Amino acid sequence: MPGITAYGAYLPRRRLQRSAIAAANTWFDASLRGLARGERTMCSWDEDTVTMAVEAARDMGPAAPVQALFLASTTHPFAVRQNAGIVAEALNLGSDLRTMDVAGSLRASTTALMSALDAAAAGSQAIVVAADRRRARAGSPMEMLSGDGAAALRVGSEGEIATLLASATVAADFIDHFRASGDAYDYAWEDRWIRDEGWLKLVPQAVARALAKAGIEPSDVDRLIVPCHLRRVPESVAKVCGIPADAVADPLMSTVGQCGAAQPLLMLAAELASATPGQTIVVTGFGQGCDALVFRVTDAVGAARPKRGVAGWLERRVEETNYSKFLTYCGVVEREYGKRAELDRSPALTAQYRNREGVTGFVGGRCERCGTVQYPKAIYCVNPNCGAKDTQEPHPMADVPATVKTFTADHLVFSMDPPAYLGLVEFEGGGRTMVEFTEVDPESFDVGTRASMRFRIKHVDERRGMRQYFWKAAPD
Amino acid sequence: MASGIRDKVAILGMGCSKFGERWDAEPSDLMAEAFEECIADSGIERSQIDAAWLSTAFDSVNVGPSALPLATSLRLGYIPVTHVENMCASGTEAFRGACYAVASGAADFALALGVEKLKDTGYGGLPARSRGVTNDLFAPNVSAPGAFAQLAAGYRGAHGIDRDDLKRAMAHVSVKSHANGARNPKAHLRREISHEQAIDAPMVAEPIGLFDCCGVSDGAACAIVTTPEIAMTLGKTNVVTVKALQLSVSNGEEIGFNSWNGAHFKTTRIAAQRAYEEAGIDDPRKEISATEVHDCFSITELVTMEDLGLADEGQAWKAVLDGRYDADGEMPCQIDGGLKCFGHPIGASGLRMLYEIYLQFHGRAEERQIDSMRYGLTHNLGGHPVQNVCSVAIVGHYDG
Repeated sequence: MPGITAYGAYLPRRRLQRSAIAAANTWFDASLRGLARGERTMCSWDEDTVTMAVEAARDMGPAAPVQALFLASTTHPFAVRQNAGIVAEALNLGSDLRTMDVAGSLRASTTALMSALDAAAAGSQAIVVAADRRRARAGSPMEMLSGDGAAALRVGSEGEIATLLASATVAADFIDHFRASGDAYDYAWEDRWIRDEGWLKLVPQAVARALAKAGIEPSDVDRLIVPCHLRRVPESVAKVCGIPADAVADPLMSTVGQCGAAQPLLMLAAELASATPGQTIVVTGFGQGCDALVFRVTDAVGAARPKRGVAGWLERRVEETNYSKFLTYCGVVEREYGKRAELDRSPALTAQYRNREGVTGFVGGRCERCGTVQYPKAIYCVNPNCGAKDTQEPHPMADVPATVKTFTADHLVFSMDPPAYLGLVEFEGGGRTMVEFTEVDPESFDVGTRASMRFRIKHVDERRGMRQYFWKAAPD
Repeated sequence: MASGIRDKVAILGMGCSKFGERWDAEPSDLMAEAFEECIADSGIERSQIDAAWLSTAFDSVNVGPSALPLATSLRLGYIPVTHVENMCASGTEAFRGACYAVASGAADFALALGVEKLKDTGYGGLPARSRGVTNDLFAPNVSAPGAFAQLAAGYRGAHGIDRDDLKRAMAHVSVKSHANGARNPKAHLRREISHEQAIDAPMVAEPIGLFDCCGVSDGAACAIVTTPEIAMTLGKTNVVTVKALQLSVSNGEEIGFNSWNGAHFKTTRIAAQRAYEEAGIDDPRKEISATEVHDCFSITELVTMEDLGLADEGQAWKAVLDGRYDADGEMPCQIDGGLKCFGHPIGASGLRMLYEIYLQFHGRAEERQIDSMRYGLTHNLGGHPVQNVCSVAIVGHYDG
């Protein structure tokens, strides 16, 4: 039966305190004070939809062969250059798969999931990953209520932890908010209308259709996922649907915020972590209509735990109260970066293509002659006692644990997050290389610190709109 | 076994411009300033120069590519001129080219000139630049102090040295070089500093503070070389010859193979060993009178003392604190102020080091003069501790 076979999530470590947003903005809009509770996830300068998607997919645990990867988002970094293709290469999924960006609506993720499940019914396995880093005007409610995050699901028709019972869609050009191509910000209509005509009418219609197809009574639903940022709306939706109030899933608004297209899958990932066999889960995705999917949790649910999952990422947090830094990272402020930032640098696309396995996939080499692991992969073995030519097999290193060998905090070099931490790391089982570090806590970081590789933005070329991705080491 | 360079090449003349923030000077002005001193010292005419080598490191803010800038600035006589670049070892590379030309018999008189014009960037420190399109895909964004600060972490970790002890030793290196630089009229930085100033200076890249960094300077230095025989024919009595000239270049082992401990320069150890053999030096600690080493950062000088065999492994920080390399110590290091205070116009630095040693052999170092010179050693390091090029030159009186 088609269903979900693995799940994972990613939440940025920085948590912007909503009180910090309010402190900077209530002089203009006093109503923001009412939203200034809790915190929201916030990307660092070197994270975006693609990097979060990669991390969410990696969170699912050991890779398994898939025939397709869908990347759902409303904030794909590239309008042209397939974003899903970058994610697939970073995950070393090979070239024999279908990759596709799904966009245009906050229900892009549920629609992608339905398509992947269709493919699973036909015998395919696929990854559906959803991520969003939504951009909002300074001092807007959307800035307060949004979060940055990603979630990933693997689907197939064997070993599923949640089996699809039915799905349904209500398609409607309901314009609660929109953004024209090329524009930076969304434009939204009145919340009360969105609630009454949208959430409370379109969602129950879709849920009713799906439940009817599945032959399940609303009262038998155990968990209901309504990815809504408006307070008390998920409870109202449950009531209209006839679903018990205690089935309503946490919309993660106090800890994460509304992560755009990623939110339905993020909430589902959170629910699957505590789901028990036999439970019925209804997932909804809202945006120009509504998708609804009905799943039955299987006995295998305990066997497919993510590496960290939503709860693990929630724990891994650092409070951010610097609103100015947040605006800078969102690209809302024209900051003085100094002359060192003026260096005009953009990847040579020829070199990028030749080296993509090493750069995007972080694949090194392992000498078949002497067993030495080296990064990057080279023509001649680096082992001074070997030096053999053309003996290196591709050796994926992104998931290999690393240890800090040397490092410094560089205050001179241009960095969006000064000081720049960089140094030499050694990999378990061999290999070493110079890396940039990210997410460093100066108090606990030292030679010998254990670290993991993370897919991040290395450099943004504002002039040409190009962003260069590479791997960095983050302390565990 | 090759016979090596020992005593095949004599330094006929040398020159060095004033180093510093030469807002007034074009690279051609710096070249002419160094060359005029050099040609006068050599006693030959410009038209007698058979071949020339030009060294620079940062073309984009300097003279631009090719050998043309040297040939046109000095109006050389349509002779062969070669432009060399090997990062911070560039100056010694130009010297090596000139020496090889003379040693081979291809030239009677060869000129090596290094120049760098760094202060046309609009900011302090070295210019930010691309490292090549493929390297830019992989390499971390790092400043020079950021790269060399790693050495301090590696050295401290490998030998279990207390953070404060190492910082004190690093400060001593800089205090010493400032004291030396203050006595050198051509030096960029001519102010003595206190130990406390060095310790308390703003942090650039942990644990490298502002006073652990060398000057970023404009300047030029040059040498004219010939054979010892020709030098004597020209009436030179105190002939200074090249005893050794070695270059060692990383092959990627330090950065790629899990054996190097991050606490030393593999290249320096190899180049030094080869240089001592070439020069016939058995005990460098007794036979070398003075060194000019690549003190781009205080920690580099400190670790280099060990790599040159002039201090025991893991003990250089104590030798430094004991004053062994001070002006009045057993073996003065950077008696001219070093990169730290004479300054570091990169392409000129290797030749600047030789200039000071040459002055010392000729007794022309004024208040910096060291009493008895047997061998003088210069050492250049280009790149980063994890991957670099290292040159070692040894000069002494001709014993032909």
